[in-house]
Amino acid sequence: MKNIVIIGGGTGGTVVANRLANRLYDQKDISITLFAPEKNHIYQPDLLFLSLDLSDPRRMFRDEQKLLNKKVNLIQQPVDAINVDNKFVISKGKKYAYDYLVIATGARLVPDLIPGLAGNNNHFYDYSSAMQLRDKLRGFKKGVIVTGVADVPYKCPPAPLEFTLLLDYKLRKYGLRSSVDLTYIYPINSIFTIQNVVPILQKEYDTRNIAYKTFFIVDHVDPEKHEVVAMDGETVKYDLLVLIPPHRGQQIISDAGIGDEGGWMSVDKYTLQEKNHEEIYGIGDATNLPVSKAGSVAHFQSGVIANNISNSVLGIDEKINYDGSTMCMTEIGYDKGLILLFDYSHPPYGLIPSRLNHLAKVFYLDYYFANMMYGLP
Amino acid sequence: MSDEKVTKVIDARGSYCPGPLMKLIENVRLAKVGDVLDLLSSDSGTKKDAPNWIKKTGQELIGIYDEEGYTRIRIKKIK
Repeated sequence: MKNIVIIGGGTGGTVVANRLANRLYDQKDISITLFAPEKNHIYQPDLLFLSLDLSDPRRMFRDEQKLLNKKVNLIQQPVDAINVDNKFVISKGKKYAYDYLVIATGARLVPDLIPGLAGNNNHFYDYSSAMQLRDKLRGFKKGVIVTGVADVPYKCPPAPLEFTLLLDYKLRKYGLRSSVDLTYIYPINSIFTIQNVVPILQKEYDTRNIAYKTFFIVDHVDPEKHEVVAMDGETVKYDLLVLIPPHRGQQIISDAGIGDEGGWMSVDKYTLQEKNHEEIYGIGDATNLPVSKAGSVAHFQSGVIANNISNSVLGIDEKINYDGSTMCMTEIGYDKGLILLFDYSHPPYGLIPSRLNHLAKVFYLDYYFANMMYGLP
Repeated sequence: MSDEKVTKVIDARGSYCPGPLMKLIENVRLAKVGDVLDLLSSDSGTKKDAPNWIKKTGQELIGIYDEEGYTRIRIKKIK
């Protein structure tokens, strides 16, 4: 019996489990176990729309068990420790041995890394926070909203920018834009990470009178003065603060000795195998790869991992590499969007905002769940 | 090349700008005052962006070194 253990029921963990099950469906002596503590799987990109009152909270959840191939053994509890030397994980005191381990534990939000941020900030990176932000925005008629990023890395690089542009669009629709100022802060020297997209987005910011401060590295938040203070002392005042909080990897990765200082797992950028343990793979947000922390990355990586593990199990000496493939669907408001496709060797192309791209993002939720269940490409 | 002891090497080769800069920002926040970091980048934009960021945040740029197919940028966290 060979045991494949997957930790984490987000995009990467769920898709890789199903793809492995599809490839190994007729192998009786293969066990695929997925540890996913949450009962419901959430489609995270919809949280952006939810926070702006542009989506229904009932749309984005599916029962994790119902998304999974029957060959996958789902255990709805967290993994508390990984023993990489003796090849087992521990969950609620019980040991589970593995021959192959896939770590898909994602990122965690750690607002406490920035003094003054917790309790004074709003965001849309989890369900309850998105709902709270939605409710605050419903009553916000006048003042300054500061948006942007508190620290890097963070999930879904375009999200803070999309939020700002959609917020502007929504405020204009409701006739509130003249009484609400928007200021966006970002830690690098432009408003977005992907440089050949910046002119398009900056034009939107300039046309719509959205102020921005680049190279703004948040040092702390002063709730008394309602100010965000940068490392170089620059300040920006807010009435409502919406910053993406700092992200870090999971503690079990650091504890297992396979992560860097940030808790991100060290993997080979092509094979996705842990540097010193070839039977361990990392996927999605959990890794320290210099690629976007995005569901699309986990999706593309899942094909590589499922292929290479199943080939190894079946004794087929063929491996494929992850090429850095990433897709970012970026909303800019006014029912228009961009779809950015790129990899390690090719910068993004297809940079024309269109209604078709917007519709693709709106309807992607249904494709996401269908893809997850049936292993579509 | 300076002979200061490097605390950490950040290998961001193969990542497009500003990927290397993002890795630098993350690591500078995690580093201790006095740590020396080497950022390796194959993206030509980093040669301009990283020194600008270092200057803006008041850290110390020790040097920029051209290696075969990439650039090594050495920085010291001083605050």
